[in-house]
Order: sequence, then C-alpha cells, then structure tokens
Amino acid sequence: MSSDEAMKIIENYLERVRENLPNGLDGDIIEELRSHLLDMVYERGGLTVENAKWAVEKMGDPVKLAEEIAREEGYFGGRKKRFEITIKWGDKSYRWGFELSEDLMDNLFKFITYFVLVVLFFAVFASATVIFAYGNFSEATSLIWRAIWFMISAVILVHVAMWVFSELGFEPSKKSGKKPIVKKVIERREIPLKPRPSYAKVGGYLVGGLFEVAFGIFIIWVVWRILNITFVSRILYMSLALALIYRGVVSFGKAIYLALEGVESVTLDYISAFSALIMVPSLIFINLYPEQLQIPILETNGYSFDEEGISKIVDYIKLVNIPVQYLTIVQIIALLLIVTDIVYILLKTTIYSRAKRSSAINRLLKRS
Amino acid sequence: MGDNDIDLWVSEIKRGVIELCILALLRRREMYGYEIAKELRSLTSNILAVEEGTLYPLLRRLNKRGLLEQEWRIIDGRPRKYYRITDEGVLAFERMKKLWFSIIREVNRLLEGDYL
Repeated sequence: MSSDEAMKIIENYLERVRENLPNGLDGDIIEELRSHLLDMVYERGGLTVENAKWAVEKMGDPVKLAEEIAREEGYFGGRKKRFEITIKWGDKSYRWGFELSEDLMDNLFKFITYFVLVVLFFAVFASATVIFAYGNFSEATSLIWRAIWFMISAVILVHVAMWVFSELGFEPSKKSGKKPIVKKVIERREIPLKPRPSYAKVGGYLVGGLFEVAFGIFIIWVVWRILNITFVSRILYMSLALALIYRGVVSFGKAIYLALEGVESVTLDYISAFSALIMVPSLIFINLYPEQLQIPILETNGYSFDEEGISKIVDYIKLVNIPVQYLTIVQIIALLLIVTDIVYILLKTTIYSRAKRSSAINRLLKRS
Repeated sequence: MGDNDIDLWVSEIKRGVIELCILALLRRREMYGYEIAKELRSLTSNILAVEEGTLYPLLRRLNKRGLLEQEWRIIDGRPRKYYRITDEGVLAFERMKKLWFSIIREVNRLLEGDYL
C-alpha cells in the first residue's frame, strides 16, 4: 500500500537519524521528528510516497541533523562526548572540558581490560620463558621491563591513532556525497539497517593490520635465522606468520572498504576468518609428530640489550623439545585446535550466507 | 561578494534571530515544533522560515539553557511535544528584545548616514 511505503520512507529516515545519535539521546527526539514529518505530510495532502519523500528532503540530511542535535546536548560531532570539570572557588567557577569520541568511550573499558590483560600476559609469558630457559631471572629483568614498556607504548599508540582518526573527522558516512536525502534513505534499505560503524574502527583496522603484518614478518625473520629447527616447527611458525600477514592484509582491505563505503564488508570479514584454516596443516603435523615440536625460549645469559640491540636477540633464542610426558597433551591440544578452526569456519560460512541471503536486494526482487 | 556569500550571510543573520523569534512566539502561547515552524513562516511572510532540520537543535538549545520547558501531550491520538517559555525565558526574551531594538536602531542610523 502507498501509505505503508510512505511510512517506511519516514521510518528509514528516522532510523538514519537515530543511528547517528549518541546512545540515550534517541527516543525523545525521534518521536518528535516523527510527529513533525507526519504533520508535514498530512498538511500537504496525506500519507503518500510523494509527500513522504518531500518531507524527508525538507527535513534535511539525517546525519547532519543528528549531529546538530547531539551538539546542542553537549555531544560534539554527534559521536563525541564532552567531559567537563567544574571547580568552584568562592564565587567564581572554572570549567574545563575535553571531548572524546563516543566510539572510543565505548572502547575505553575494553581498552583498559585489554591493556591490563596484554601486559600481564606478556609479563607472565616472558618470565616463564626466561625461567624455563634455566636462565637467571634477575639478569633478564631489564630486558623484560623494556619489552613490557614497549607493549604499553604500542597499545597506547594504537589508541592514539584511533583517536586521531576520529578527531580528524574521518567519517565514512560523509562519503555518500550529494545524493538527494530520499535516495540515501531508500538506498539504505538495500543493506540491513545497523548501527553506523565508528570511524575509529578504520584506524583500528589499519593499525591492527600493521601490527599483524609486522609481527608476521618478525616471526619469519626469526625462524629463518634459526638453523636447527625441525620441519614440523618450521611449518608451525611459518603458518602462524602467514596467518598473521594474511589477516593484516585483509584488515587493510577492511579499513579501505569501511572508509569508502561507510559500512563493514561482510565478505572481507568472512575472508579474514580463513586465516584459521592456514594453521590446520601445521596442527595436523603436530598431532602426528608431536615430538618434533619445538618451542622457542630466550636464554639471556650474557646478553646485554644495551650493547647488542634487538637484532642480536635471535642468537639467544634456543629451541627446546617438548618433554616426553607432555606429548599426549600436545596432541590433544592440536586436535582440539583443528576442530575449533573447522567449526569456526563452518559457523562463519553460515553467518555469511545468511547475511547475503537476507539483503534487501533479494527482498526487493522477491516483492517484484 | 558572490550569491553564495550573500546567502551565507543571510543564513547567519537568520540563525541569530530565529531564537529571539521562537521565544517571541512562545511568549504568546505554548506550541509544538511543527506549529512553531508554521507560525514563523506565516507571520514573517516566509522571510524567517526556519528549515525543519534547524528547528529542533535550536529548541533543544533553548531548552538546555532553561529558557523553555517541554511536555508531551496526546492530541488527536498523536503524541506532540509542547514547548512553553519559562520565567527565565521571559527575562531572557525581554533582554534580547531590548538589545535587538538597540542593534536595529544603530544599524539603521549607520545605513541612513546619521553618522556621516
């Protein structure tokens, strides 16, 4: 029915406004805008598709409208939050505020948790490696602390990069250009309506991709320089490096797609999942020949980071075979990882197929 | 100065004045958003017609400053948010009106050459 179609245009418009409003700000204003749009439409002659299109065009760009409203509520740029401190001194009060991307705010808690976990994990892993190498822990303390500080700096750098991207206003949704409002709103129906991806995600994908590629190359460099490594171990670490580089490259693709299209690429997300399959052959080898698995440990006796630098650290990496009593556990873990990887890919395939099937293009085709 | 610059200047002037006009309308009686936009168009011969998308941010600004208060009502089965000027809004309106007349008077004097 024409009135249903007209209402859908209005609701799609309101959805675009809603998804660009900060959390908690959407209910009241959406109701008000709906009432206004309906008033416009009825004054013009009734709830028809033509009147609905006219009304949303008159109302203006939904993203800009949401940003204006959010700005008046103390949210800057529509997706940023303002934090203010007011200090009262006698009769005077001093206000100081700063803005932080709401997308980063959402991630702040995750950042703190992730930051603490990464540092803790790294510290435990590094300490265990050194102790397991029968080295003297105190001699390696300086190196471990440097490594921890490097990790802290790297994590902060990632988030600063994400903040810079958001401050530069790098907003994928602005790439939609000067299309008529109603066309933007109608075309939005071709993909499932979902919350607008944060522009900080573009930075996250880029920086994450950079780290994955860099770490993968580092692993290849280390493995290549170690001569007495077994075939199984070489396969394992090279697969790991390849999987990281693969994921990193796909992350760059995801960043570019998100920047250009304003939405996440379902296909690239699916392609990224295949990095898990890269590990499967090496895991099969480990399951069959667990005694050939070697783990790298750092024997830092005599190593001085200040004198020799990071490049010489490879000379202090020693490969250790798994003790016999742990071989069965290794086989079980390898088998579990193989099963996990395969199940993961199957699940991703199902999700991807569903996402493609439920696209509005198919819905439109079915309707016609 | 091209047409675009003139349009920009006009829209900047309008933007500053619309708040005063909204307060002026609500000083008379309470209204809902669409009604405010309609009244502005008809009472000012479309000169001060406010774009639909501009109205609600302005209303929220005035509300946040405590110059307006709002109330949802169901009229003819449809929810409408009515705006009402507060006491603080009345005081602000009176000050803004006085300042506006001063500005107009001085600008007119300048344009009519009284300073020359």
